[in-house]
Parts: sequence; C-alpha cells; structure tokens
Amino acid sequence: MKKETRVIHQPTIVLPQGNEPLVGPIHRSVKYTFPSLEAARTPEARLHGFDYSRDANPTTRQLEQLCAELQGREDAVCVSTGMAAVWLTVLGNLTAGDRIVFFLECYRPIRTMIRERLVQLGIEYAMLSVHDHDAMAEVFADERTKLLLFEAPTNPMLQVPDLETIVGLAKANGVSTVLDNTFAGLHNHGQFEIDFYLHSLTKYSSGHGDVMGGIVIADRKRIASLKPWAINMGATLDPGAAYLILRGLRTYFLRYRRHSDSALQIARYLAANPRVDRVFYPALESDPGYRLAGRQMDGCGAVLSFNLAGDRQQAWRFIDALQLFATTSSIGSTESLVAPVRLYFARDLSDDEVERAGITDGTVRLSVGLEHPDDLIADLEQALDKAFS
Amino acid sequence: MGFTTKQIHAGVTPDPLTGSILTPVYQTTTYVQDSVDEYLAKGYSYSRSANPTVHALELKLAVLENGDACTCYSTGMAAIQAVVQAALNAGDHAIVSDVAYGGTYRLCTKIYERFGVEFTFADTSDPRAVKAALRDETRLILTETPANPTLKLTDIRAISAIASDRGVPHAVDNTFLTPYFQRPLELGADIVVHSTTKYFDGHNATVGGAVITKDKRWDDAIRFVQNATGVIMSPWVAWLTLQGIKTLSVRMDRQSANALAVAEFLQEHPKVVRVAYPGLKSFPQHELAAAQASGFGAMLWFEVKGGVAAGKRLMDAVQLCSLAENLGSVETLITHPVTMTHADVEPQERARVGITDGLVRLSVGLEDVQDLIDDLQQALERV
Repeated sequence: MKKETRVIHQPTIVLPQGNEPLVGPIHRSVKYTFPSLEAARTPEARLHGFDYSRDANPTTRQLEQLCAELQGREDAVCVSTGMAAVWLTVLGNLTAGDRIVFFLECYRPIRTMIRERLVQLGIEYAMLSVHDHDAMAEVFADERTKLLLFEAPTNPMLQVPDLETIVGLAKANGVSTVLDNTFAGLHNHGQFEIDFYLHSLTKYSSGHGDVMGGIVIADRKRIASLKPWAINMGATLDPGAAYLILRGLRTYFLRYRRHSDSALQIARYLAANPRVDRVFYPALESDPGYRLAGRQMDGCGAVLSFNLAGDRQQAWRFIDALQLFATTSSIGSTESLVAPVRLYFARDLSDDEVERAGITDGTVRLSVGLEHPDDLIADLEQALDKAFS
Repeated sequence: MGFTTKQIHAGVTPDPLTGSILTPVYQTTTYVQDSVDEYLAKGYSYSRSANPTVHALELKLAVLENGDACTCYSTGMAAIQAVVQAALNAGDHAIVSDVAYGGTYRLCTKIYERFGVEFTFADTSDPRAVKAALRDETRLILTETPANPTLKLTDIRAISAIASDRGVPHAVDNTFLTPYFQRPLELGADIVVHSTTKYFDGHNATVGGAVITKDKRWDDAIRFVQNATGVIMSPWVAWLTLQGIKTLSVRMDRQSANALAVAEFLQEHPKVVRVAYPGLKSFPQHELAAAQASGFGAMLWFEVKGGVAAGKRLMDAVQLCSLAENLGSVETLITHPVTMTHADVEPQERARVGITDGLVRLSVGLEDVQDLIDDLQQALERV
C-alpha cells in the first residue's frame, strides 16, 4: 500500500477485552462499515447495527438509553434541539384534517410553530387554558382531536396541570398525550400514563449552558414508529453534543436538587418583599399549585416567575441592575439567568391573552443557578433598591 | 477574488478578542444582553436562532455559491426539509427529479403527502417533461444534478427559465459537484441545497446540511422554518466543516482526476458492461456536463456482467473500497443502491429511472489511484 493510501486507511486500535475506557468515546465517524453486504442486511444489523450517523450513532445511542431509563420508559430518539423534538412528535402523529390541542400557558415558539406553520399543513388547533378541564373534555370528545401537547409546569408562568385528570380525559377519548417535561426533568412524571415525553436536553440534562439537544422518550413501539420520521427529517443530534450531555447528566441529580432548594429560598424571599405583588413557584406554600406539585413532582426546579409591584420601566431597570443574573433566555444552567416575560415570551399574545396567562409588564422570570443563594438574594435586593429608588 | 482564496478566507475574520485566526467554537446556548432595551443588539440571543461559529460557516457557503444568504442544518435531509417546508402548504404541488436521493423521495411521499402536498416525480433532464408536469398549484421545482445514483444531469439553465416564467422557485441539490465545479445560482436557480456531510466536510467526520438562497425573501422564509423546527447544526460540526472546506478545491481536483482514471480503467475491463461518468466522452450528457460545470466530480457507477449476484460478489471482494453508503469523503466508498440507498424505492420506479439491479456506485476518494485500480482489478478477477 502506498503512503497516500495509508493516510486515509489509518491503523485501528483494537482495545483488549476488559481494557475498555471508563467513559465512552465520541463516535464522530459518519459511516460504519460491514464485513460484507450480507452482514449489513441481517435483521440484527438493521435493528441494532450502526450504518450512517444520521440514522444511529453509538454515542447518541448511549444518551438515548440513559434518558429513557431515567424517565422510566423503554426507548428514546435524540434530535438536534428541544423544538426539533416537538416538531418530530407533532408531525409524526398527525395527518391533514387532524386537530391538536395545546395551552395558552406554553412556551412561545410552540404557539408560533402551531399557529403559523402547522395550520398551513391542514392541521386545526384548539388553544385552551391548562386549568379548564371542561373545555378539554369537550374538545377531546371531537374525533378530529388526535393530540395534546402540553408542559408541566408551564413556561414561563409555572402553572401546574392536574396530570391525572388531564391524562385521564385524553385517554378516555383516544387522544395521544405529548408532555414537554423539560421543566420537571427526567426524574419526574414517569408515573403517569403519558404517551410521549419530550425534553430540551439543552436545559437540566446538559446543565452547563454549553450545548443544544432534544429527545423524545416513549415505549418501544412508539419510538419505532417515530424513528423513520426522525431519519427522513434529518433532525439528528451531533454526537459531540451527545457526549457533552452525557457528561452533564453525571451531576444531574446534584444540580436539580440544589436548583430546587435555592429557587425555593429565593421564592420565599420575594414573596415576603413588599415590592413584589405575586410569586409563581409551585414549591411555595402559598402557590395555588402547591398541593398538586407536592403530589405529582419530586422537586420543582430552578425556574420561578414573579410580578413586580411596578411598571415596565421599573421591571427593566430591575433586570438591568442585576449583577449575577444574566439577561437572556434559556433555563437550567449553572449560571443564574433572568428574562422579561412579556417581551421574551408573550410577544405573540393579545392583551386579553396576556392577562389570562397572568402576565403583566412587571413579570420577571428567573432561572436560579448554582451560585450561593445568599449571594443571589443580595443581588436581588440591591437591584430592587435601584429599580424603586 | 478566486474561488480557492474565498474557500480559505470568506466568512472568517480573526477573533477580535485574541486574534485567533480560526473562529472559536462558540459552545454556548445563550447570549447575555447588555440591557433589556438592547435585546438582540449584537445579533445573538439563543443558539437555536443563531450561533457565531455556525454563522461563520453560513457566510462562507453563501460566498462560495455566490448567493445572498445561507442557513445550516443538522443534516442534508433537514436542509431539504426546510426548503420543502418554506415553499409548500397543504394543497400545493411540487416537481421533483425522478432520480433523487432516496431520502428526498421518502420525505416527499412518507411525510408531506400526508399533509395534502402533491408531488410529481418528473424526468427533469427533459425540460418538456418539467413543463408538462406544471400545474396552477406548483410552488417548487426541486432538482438534483448530477442525480444520485444514475448521474443523470438536469440542465439548470433550462429548468430555471421554466421556473422563473411561472414565478416558481427552482431549488438545486448541488451536493455532488459543490460550488467549486458548479454554481446553480449563477445559472438561474433560486435556491441551492447541500449535504455538507459530503465534500464540504470531506473527512467522514460530521453530518450537516445547508441552504443557500439568491434573495432575502426565500432566506427569511427558510430561516423561520430552521428556527421553528429546531433542526440546527451544532457549533462543533460547523467548526469541523469550516476546516474541511479549506481543502475543498484540492480534494475535488484530485478526487475527480482519480475518478476519471478509475472510469477509464473500468471502461476497458471485459467484466464491466457499462460505466457512467460525466467526464467520459461516452457519457450521454457529456456536453451538458462540460457546459454547466467546470469539473466532473468524483462519483461514477458501473455495471458488472452477471447482474445482482456479480455486483454483490464484487462488493464483498473489494479491500480498499469501503462498503458504506456515504459519499464525498477522502475514503473511497462503494455502494449497491438497490440493496442500500434506494432499497425503499419501488422496484418498478427504480427500473424506470435506470437504477438497475447490478448498478454499483463508487465515490472515489483521495487514495493513490493505482491502489484503487489494483483493488478493483483483484475484486473483478474474483467475480
């Protein structure tokens, strides 16, 4: 063999049995070879083998199996972002003429996707309130309704849906349920009979604000039927991203607990502050979702919202005065983040819808990071002073 | 500025903070705003919507294709999906090359037909067939040239003229030739699609896709889909692709020269029935190939005497050529479309478009060409 050829067909290092790396490698290769055409065509190779990285990748597969296990389901498929997970699940479960149900109290890009794009593919929608069980019962009973897409707790106002009631209503009417479980995390809500769990892995799973990813988790049959859609859409997760998320997950439980503890301390501080009208955080005893969250969730996470007792100008001045909270979207990273809710998450809503969602010009969303909570509270205190001086 | 200069410098400016000649990998999800009032003042808020490393690649690709703007994706299929999404609604119709990558065919028939979009798979090498397929509802013409795997060519100028007469965008999948050899936007097309997995990366190390548009209107519509459906490219993949592109012209020149040598060898071999390579005089559309592109690429196919059985034996006998269904990398890859890339296409449809059972596709790599010829020689002897 000439050296020009050798540089392309490089030596392979075969690891001796029992001498494997503790942490799996990043499988960057796009292609996987087979010894023969027949070997590539066996049922085993087609089901569990690796061929082309858009279809399946060993590093990504490791992440899929871990997340499925944490969520208490059989299988999963990873995609490039959380929104790609939403898009894949919605598209894969609908046909022109079907109706999708979602809630006013949800992440803005989901409303945009449905109201500006999905309708053009012949899909109808009903946008209800997460607490309106009567309206759900009515819409679910219509046989065109095929899918419910929802969050628990909701983003950005932390409303806690009654999962037992909602899932029961959906099941009784043959409506499939898709729960964006990003805020609650991989360890929550597995006890409900939900058909598809979605996560933005960008948030608590990666945890370090450095990587984007999404996942759909379900039983084996549902993932098997969704997988060809993922391949055809090409919404593949980068194996390098999968590796970073696997690393992030090693501290998942430590982080989620600490996020939850610090967020509760901050929620209590804000609830006792006269410059704050109302705090939305389901672990807070005064929150309307407190009992429900206590029953169905283990820990409420990093995110809380609150209404300042002031106008938009004061809210923006408050946000700009914060030193430790960075002004930006996203949640669930090691750093504390802050976002003006109406500007970032309600631009598409009418004044009436904004009011029904409980949002005011003074609504602020925090994602409480892993800094010391005393430092965070001191930062909030000085920013409140500046905003109201 | 020459193409080879642009492939090195376009889109990339030294990092203002450190002078780093390469754009850093911005491995971050979110961007801090200076104040609420200055939201998006620097152009970045969240990496699903925009990322500086990915943006550098988008700028480079837009320059190389001589387009206005570019968006990058998780895969080539995600790029095609974004174009289909942006152009087509329920009730619309599209004309697609009847010979196209199997994934494109599946995207149309398995996903979009379910949402009331209709497709005509037409022989786009014949402008009359494209004209005949036009309907009042036609909103997109999507071609692939050379087509995968038959290498049938579409006359980009002729189809673009038909499309522009009707105010319908013409999107061209330019993966096989890359802008180094062929620039569809200069020939009248409106949109170019790429699987960057192939020649742009070139090293079999990433999967990715890109869409380059001639005008901003299409870029806006496509960018909306990219952001809403989240099928984005990761910054790490963008960085690797930026590096790969710097040797694009060198690889393309050498791989094309290797392909021509291999094609000439196969043409003379008694066990080979047919060879198709646009650079061969015997190729039926050789003149069109020479007229609309400055090179012939590194993809070829041939048919071995003895049909499927002989084709399979050959595939198993090769040593250097890897049995793998990618293309465009430095490694030479060999594929049997009927059992691999086009297995999902109906047999009658395959026969109609010329994908015969014995057809073997070769993506010629960067190895020493004599080693490749020796490998094919020994494999053919064992057939």
